[in-house]
Amino acid sequence: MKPIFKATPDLWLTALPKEQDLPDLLAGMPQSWKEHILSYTSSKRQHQSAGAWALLALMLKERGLQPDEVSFSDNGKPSFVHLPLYFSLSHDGGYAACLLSELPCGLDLQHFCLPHHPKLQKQLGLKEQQCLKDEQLLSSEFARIWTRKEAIIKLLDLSITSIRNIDPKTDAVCSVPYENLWISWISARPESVELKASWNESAPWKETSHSGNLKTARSGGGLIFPISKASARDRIRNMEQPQLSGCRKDEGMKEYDN
Amino acid sequence: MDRIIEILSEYTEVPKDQIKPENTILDDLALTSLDVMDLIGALEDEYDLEIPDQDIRSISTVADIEAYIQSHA
Repeated sequence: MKPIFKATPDLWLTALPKEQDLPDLLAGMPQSWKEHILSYTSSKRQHQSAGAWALLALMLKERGLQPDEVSFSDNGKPSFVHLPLYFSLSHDGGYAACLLSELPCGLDLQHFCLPHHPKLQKQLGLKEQQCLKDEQLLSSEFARIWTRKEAIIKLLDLSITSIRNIDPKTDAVCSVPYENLWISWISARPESVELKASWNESAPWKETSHSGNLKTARSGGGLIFPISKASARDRIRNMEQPQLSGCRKDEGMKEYDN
Repeated sequence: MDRIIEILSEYTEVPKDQIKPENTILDDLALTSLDVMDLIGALEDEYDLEIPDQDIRSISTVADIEAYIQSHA
Protein backbone atom coordinates (compact mmCIF):
# COMPACT_ATOMS: atom_id res chain seq x y z
CA MET A 1 0.00 0.00 0.00
CA LYS A 2 1.41 3.38 -1.04
CA PRO A 3 0.13 6.89 -0.42
CA ILE A 4 -1.28 8.70 -3.42
CA PHE A 5 -0.45 12.10 -2.05
CA LYS A 6 0.85 13.85 1.01
CA ALA A 7 -0.01 17.27 2.37
CA THR A 8 0.78 19.57 5.28
CA PRO A 9 0.00 18.73 8.05
CA ASP A 10 0.58 15.10 7.27
CA LEU A 11 -2.39 14.01 5.22
CA TRP A 12 -2.12 10.82 3.25
CA LEU A 13 -4.64 9.26 0.93
CA THR A 14 -4.42 5.72 -0.35
CA ALA A 15 -6.39 3.29 -2.44
CA LEU A 16 -7.51 0.45 -0.21
CA PRO A 17 -5.70 -2.85 -0.64
CA LYS A 18 -7.58 -5.99 -1.59
CA GLU A 19 -10.02 -7.39 0.93
CA GLN A 20 -8.13 -10.65 1.22
CA ASP A 21 -5.13 -8.69 2.54
CA LEU A 22 -6.88 -8.03 5.86
CA PRO A 23 -4.73 -10.50 7.86
CA ASP A 24 -1.57 -8.88 6.49
CA LEU A 25 -2.85 -5.43 7.36
CA LEU A 26 -3.63 -6.51 10.92
CA ALA A 27 -0.26 -8.15 11.47
CA GLY A 28 1.91 -6.01 13.70
CA MET A 29 -0.86 -3.66 14.72
CA PRO A 30 -1.30 -2.91 18.44
CA GLN A 31 -4.00 -4.92 20.17
CA SER A 32 -6.33 -1.93 20.57
CA TRP A 33 -6.20 -1.28 16.82
CA LYS A 34 -7.02 -4.90 16.00
CA GLU A 35 -9.84 -5.05 18.52
CA HIS A 36 -11.37 -1.93 17.07
CA ILE A 37 -11.15 -3.14 13.47
CA LEU A 38 -12.49 -6.59 14.29
CA SER A 39 -15.33 -5.15 16.35
CA TYR A 40 -17.06 -4.41 13.06
CA THR A 41 -19.19 -7.35 12.06
CA SER A 42 -19.27 -6.24 8.43
CA SER A 43 -16.23 -7.58 6.55
CA LYS A 44 -16.42 -4.59 4.23
CA ARG A 45 -16.19 -2.24 7.20
CA GLN A 46 -13.31 -4.25 8.70
CA HIS A 47 -11.40 -4.00 5.45
CA GLN A 48 -11.95 -0.24 5.06
CA SER A 49 -11.04 0.41 8.66
CA ALA A 50 -7.90 -1.75 8.48
CA GLY A 51 -6.76 0.17 5.41
CA ALA A 52 -7.02 3.47 7.23
CA TRP A 53 -5.22 2.18 10.32
CA ALA A 54 -2.51 0.63 8.16
CA LEU A 55 -1.99 4.03 6.58
CA LEU A 56 -1.57 5.53 10.05
CA ALA A 57 1.06 2.89 10.81
CA LEU A 58 2.92 3.88 7.63
CA MET A 59 2.84 7.54 8.57
CA LEU A 60 4.17 6.81 12.04
CA LYS A 61 6.88 4.65 10.55
CA GLU A 62 7.99 7.52 8.33
CA ARG A 63 8.42 9.61 11.47
CA GLY A 64 10.42 6.80 13.05
CA LEU A 65 7.62 6.00 15.48
CA GLN A 66 6.08 2.71 16.52
CA PRO A 67 2.27 2.35 16.45
CA ASP A 68 0.91 3.30 19.85
CA GLU A 69 -2.09 1.85 21.63
CA VAL A 70 -5.23 3.97 21.36
CA SER A 71 -8.30 4.71 23.42
CA PHE A 72 -11.70 5.84 22.16
CA SER A 73 -14.01 8.59 23.36
CA ASP A 74 -17.73 8.03 23.84
CA ASN A 75 -18.27 9.30 20.30
CA GLY A 76 -15.65 6.91 18.96
CA LYS A 77 -12.83 9.39 18.47
CA PRO A 78 -9.49 7.60 18.79
CA SER A 79 -6.48 9.04 20.60
CA PHE A 80 -2.98 7.77 21.19
CA VAL A 81 -2.34 6.62 24.72
CA HIS A 82 1.31 7.71 24.83
CA LEU A 83 2.32 9.56 21.66
CA PRO A 84 1.93 13.36 21.79
CA LEU A 85 0.25 13.40 18.39
CA TYR A 86 -3.30 13.56 17.11
CA PHE A 87 -4.78 11.72 14.17
CA SER A 88 -8.01 11.30 12.27
CA LEU A 89 -9.01 8.54 9.87
CA SER A 90 -11.59 8.35 7.15
CA HIS A 91 -12.56 5.97 4.39
CA ASP A 92 -15.14 5.80 1.68
CA GLY A 93 -15.50 3.44 -1.20
CA GLY A 94 -12.05 2.29 -2.29
CA TYR A 95 -10.06 4.97 -0.49
CA ALA A 96 -8.74 5.61 2.98
CA ALA A 97 -7.09 8.72 4.37
CA CYS A 98 -5.20 9.60 7.52
CA LEU A 99 -4.33 12.95 9.06
CA LEU A 100 -1.50 13.08 11.60
CA SER A 101 -0.93 16.34 13.43
CA GLU A 102 0.62 18.00 16.43
CA LEU A 103 -2.79 19.61 17.00
CA PRO A 104 -6.22 18.06 17.47
CA CYS A 105 -7.63 17.32 14.06
CA GLY A 106 -10.55 16.02 12.04
CA LEU A 107 -10.63 14.52 8.58
CA ASP A 108 -13.34 13.27 6.28
CA LEU A 109 -13.52 12.05 2.74
CA GLN A 110 -16.61 11.36 0.72
CA HIS A 111 -17.36 10.36 -2.82
CA PHE A 112 -19.53 12.74 -4.80
CA CYS A 113 -23.04 11.66 -3.93
CA LEU A 114 -26.52 12.81 -3.22
CA PRO A 115 -28.46 11.40 -0.30
CA HIS A 116 -31.34 9.10 -1.11
CA HIS A 117 -33.67 11.42 0.67
CA PRO A 118 -33.85 15.12 -0.28
CA LYS A 119 -34.40 16.11 3.35
CA LEU A 120 -30.70 15.82 4.10
CA GLN A 121 -29.82 18.09 1.18
CA LYS A 122 -32.15 20.64 2.67
CA GLN A 123 -30.75 20.24 6.15
CA LEU A 124 -27.22 20.70 4.88
CA GLY A 125 -28.06 23.89 3.05
CA LEU A 126 -28.29 22.72 -0.54
CA LYS A 127 -31.77 24.16 -0.77
CA GLU A 128 -30.18 27.60 -0.97
CA GLN A 129 -28.15 26.61 -3.98
CA GLN A 130 -30.79 27.06 -6.61
CA CYS A 131 -28.13 27.70 -9.22
CA LEU A 132 -26.83 24.13 -8.91
CA LYS A 133 -29.10 22.37 -11.33
CA ASP A 134 -26.51 20.00 -12.67
CA GLU A 135 -26.57 16.73 -10.72
CA GLN A 136 -22.81 16.19 -10.93
CA LEU A 137 -22.16 19.67 -9.56
CA LEU A 138 -24.79 19.21 -6.88
CA SER A 139 -23.39 15.86 -5.79
CA SER A 140 -19.89 17.34 -5.64
CA GLU A 141 -21.12 20.26 -3.57
CA PHE A 142 -23.03 17.96 -1.25
CA ALA A 143 -19.91 15.87 -0.64
CA ARG A 144 -17.85 19.00 -0.06
CA ILE A 145 -20.30 20.38 2.49
CA TRP A 146 -20.65 17.01 4.20
CA THR A 147 -16.88 16.49 4.55
CA ARG A 148 -16.34 20.00 5.89
CA LYS A 149 -19.01 19.45 8.53
CA GLU A 150 -17.79 16.00 9.46
CA ALA A 151 -14.18 17.17 9.76
CA ILE A 152 -15.35 19.70 12.36
CA ILE A 153 -17.46 17.05 14.11
CA LYS A 154 -14.40 14.84 14.38
CA LEU A 155 -12.15 17.63 15.59
CA LEU A 156 -14.59 18.63 18.30
CA ASP A 157 -15.42 15.00 19.17
CA LEU A 158 -19.13 15.55 18.69
CA SER A 159 -21.79 13.02 17.82
CA ILE A 160 -22.66 12.75 14.14
CA THR A 161 -26.14 13.91 15.06
CA SER A 162 -24.69 17.40 15.52
CA ILE A 163 -23.97 17.62 11.83
CA ARG A 164 -27.20 19.42 11.01
CA ASN A 165 -26.10 22.32 13.21
CA ILE A 166 -22.46 22.60 12.16
CA ASP A 167 -21.62 25.43 9.81
CA PRO A 168 -19.33 24.20 7.03
CA LYS A 169 -18.01 27.64 6.13
CA THR A 170 -15.57 28.09 8.98
CA ASP A 171 -12.31 29.28 7.51
CA ALA A 172 -10.15 26.79 9.36
CA VAL A 173 -11.34 23.81 7.30
CA CYS A 174 -9.39 22.94 4.16
CA SER A 175 -11.07 21.05 1.32
CA VAL A 176 -9.69 19.57 -1.83
CA PRO A 177 -11.20 17.36 -4.53
CA TYR A 178 -9.47 14.24 -5.77
CA GLU A 179 -11.09 12.59 -8.74
CA ASN A 180 -14.68 12.02 -7.53
CA LEU A 181 -13.88 12.55 -3.84
CA TRP A 182 -13.88 15.55 -1.58
CA ILE A 183 -11.37 15.50 1.24
CA SER A 184 -11.75 18.02 4.06
CA TRP A 185 -9.64 18.42 7.14
CA ILE A 186 -9.03 20.73 10.05
CA SER A 187 -6.16 20.78 12.50
CA ALA A 188 -6.58 23.29 15.29
CA ARG A 189 -7.15 23.73 18.96
CA PRO A 190 -10.88 23.14 19.38
CA GLU A 191 -11.31 26.34 21.36
CA SER A 192 -9.89 28.34 18.46
CA VAL A 193 -12.31 27.06 15.84
CA GLU A 194 -14.53 29.79 14.56
CA LEU A 195 -18.03 28.62 13.80
CA LYS A 196 -19.77 31.94 13.86
CA ALA A 197 -20.73 32.37 10.19
CA SER A 198 -24.26 31.44 9.32
CA TRP A 199 -25.03 29.44 6.23
CA ASN A 200 -26.97 32.17 4.49
CA GLU A 201 -24.31 34.84 4.71
CA SER A 202 -22.81 33.98 1.34
CA ALA A 203 -22.96 31.32 -1.29
CA PRO A 204 -20.58 28.54 -0.21
CA TRP A 205 -19.67 27.47 -3.70
CA LYS A 206 -17.95 30.84 -4.15
CA GLU A 207 -15.47 29.83 -1.48
CA THR A 208 -12.58 28.42 -3.46
CA SER A 209 -9.48 29.50 -1.59
CA HIS A 210 -8.64 25.99 -0.40
CA SER A 211 -9.73 24.14 -3.46
CA GLY A 212 -7.45 22.61 -6.02
CA ASN A 213 -7.86 19.84 -8.49
CA LEU A 214 -5.44 17.04 -7.85
CA LYS A 215 -6.06 15.58 -11.26
CA THR A 216 -4.12 18.46 -12.75
CA ALA A 217 -1.24 18.06 -10.36
CA ARG A 218 0.32 14.83 -11.51
CA SER A 219 4.08 14.89 -11.66
CA GLY A 220 6.71 12.18 -11.86
CA GLY A 221 4.16 9.41 -11.59
CA GLY A 222 2.88 10.69 -8.28
CA LEU A 223 0.55 13.41 -7.16
CA ILE A 224 1.55 16.70 -5.70
CA PHE A 225 -0.76 18.45 -3.36
CA PRO A 226 -1.98 21.60 -5.11
CA ILE A 227 -1.80 23.95 -2.16
CA SER A 228 1.66 25.44 -1.86
CA LYS A 229 3.50 24.46 1.30
CA ALA A 230 3.96 28.10 2.26
CA SER A 231 0.26 28.72 1.87
CA ALA A 232 -0.61 25.63 3.88
CA ARG A 233 1.88 26.57 6.59
CA ASP A 234 0.40 30.03 6.82
CA ARG A 235 -3.04 28.59 7.15
CA ILE A 236 -1.98 26.20 9.87
CA ARG A 237 -0.16 28.97 11.70
CA ASN A 238 -3.29 31.09 11.55
CA MET A 239 -5.35 28.21 12.85
CA GLU A 240 -3.16 28.02 15.91
CA GLN A 241 -4.08 31.55 16.94
CA PRO A 242 -7.11 31.66 19.20
CA GLN A 243 -9.86 33.30 17.21
CA LEU A 244 -12.89 33.03 19.44
CA SER A 245 -13.46 32.19 23.03
CA GLY A 246 -15.66 29.25 22.12
CA CYS A 247 -18.13 27.77 19.74
CA ARG A 248 -21.51 29.04 18.82
CA LYS A 249 -24.01 27.86 21.37
CA ASP A 250 -26.36 26.17 19.03
CA GLU A 251 -28.65 23.34 20.02
CA GLY A 252 -26.33 20.91 18.33
CA MET A 253 -23.28 22.13 20.20
CA LYS A 254 -24.45 21.12 23.64
CA GLU A 255 -22.06 18.23 23.83
CA TYR A 256 -19.14 20.56 23.26
CA ASP A 257 -20.42 23.08 25.76
CA ASN A 258 -20.66 20.35 28.33
CA MET B 1 -41.20 -3.84 10.59
CA ASP B 2 -41.50 -4.78 6.91
CA ARG B 3 -41.48 -1.17 5.77
CA ILE B 4 -38.50 -0.34 7.99
CA ILE B 5 -36.57 -3.27 6.57
CA GLU B 6 -37.53 -2.18 3.09
CA ILE B 7 -36.14 1.31 3.72
CA LEU B 8 -32.99 -0.10 5.32
CA SER B 9 -32.47 -2.38 2.35
CA GLU B 10 -32.53 0.64 0.05
CA TYR B 11 -29.81 2.32 2.07
CA THR B 12 -27.59 -0.67 2.66
CA GLU B 13 -28.06 -2.74 -0.48
CA VAL B 14 -28.44 -5.68 1.90
CA PRO B 15 -31.29 -7.93 0.71
CA LYS B 16 -34.45 -7.54 2.79
CA ASP B 17 -34.46 -11.17 3.90
CA GLN B 18 -31.00 -10.77 5.40
CA ILE B 19 -31.87 -7.81 7.62
CA LYS B 20 -32.74 -8.99 11.11
CA PRO B 21 -34.14 -7.05 14.10
CA GLU B 22 -30.97 -7.65 16.10
CA ASN B 23 -28.71 -6.21 13.38
CA THR B 24 -26.88 -3.03 14.37
CA ILE B 25 -27.15 -0.36 11.71
CA LEU B 26 -23.51 0.71 11.91
CA ASP B 27 -21.60 -2.50 12.52
CA ASP B 28 -23.79 -5.17 10.93
CA LEU B 29 -25.38 -3.20 8.11
CA ALA B 30 -22.28 -1.02 7.62
CA LEU B 31 -24.19 2.24 7.29
CA THR B 32 -21.94 5.28 7.11
CA SER B 33 -22.60 8.40 9.13
CA LEU B 34 -24.04 9.98 6.00
CA ASP B 35 -26.33 6.98 5.50
CA VAL B 36 -27.55 7.26 9.09
CA MET B 37 -28.48 10.91 8.77
CA ASP B 38 -30.05 10.26 5.39
CA LEU B 39 -32.03 7.35 6.83
CA ILE B 40 -33.27 9.49 9.71
CA GLY B 41 -34.69 11.98 7.21
CA ALA B 42 -36.45 9.19 5.36
CA LEU B 43 -37.92 7.75 8.56
CA GLU B 44 -39.07 11.17 9.71
CA ASP B 45 -40.96 11.71 6.47
CA GLU B 46 -42.27 8.17 6.21
CA TYR B 47 -43.72 8.22 9.72
CA ASP B 48 -44.40 11.97 9.98
CA LEU B 49 -42.29 12.56 13.05
CA GLU B 50 -39.23 14.52 14.08
CA ILE B 51 -36.43 12.54 15.65
CA PRO B 52 -34.38 14.80 17.96
CA ASP B 53 -30.60 14.46 17.81
CA GLN B 54 -30.41 13.02 21.31
CA ASP B 55 -32.86 10.27 20.35
CA ILE B 56 -30.87 9.29 17.27
CA ARG B 57 -27.99 8.32 19.53
CA SER B 58 -30.15 5.77 21.30
CA ILE B 59 -31.04 3.98 18.07
CA SER B 60 -28.56 1.20 17.50
CA THR B 61 -30.38 -1.78 16.04
CA VAL B 62 -33.17 -2.43 13.57
CA ALA B 63 -35.38 -3.36 16.52
CA ASP B 64 -34.55 0.00 18.14
CA ILE B 65 -35.87 1.78 15.05
CA GLU B 66 -39.10 -0.17 15.19
CA ALA B 67 -39.54 0.45 18.92
CA TYR B 68 -38.88 4.16 18.49
CA ILE B 69 -41.39 4.51 15.69
CA GLN B 70 -44.03 2.49 17.52
CA SER B 71 -43.74 4.76 20.54
CA HIS B 72 -43.51 8.09 18.72
CA ALA B 73 -45.37 7.87 15.40
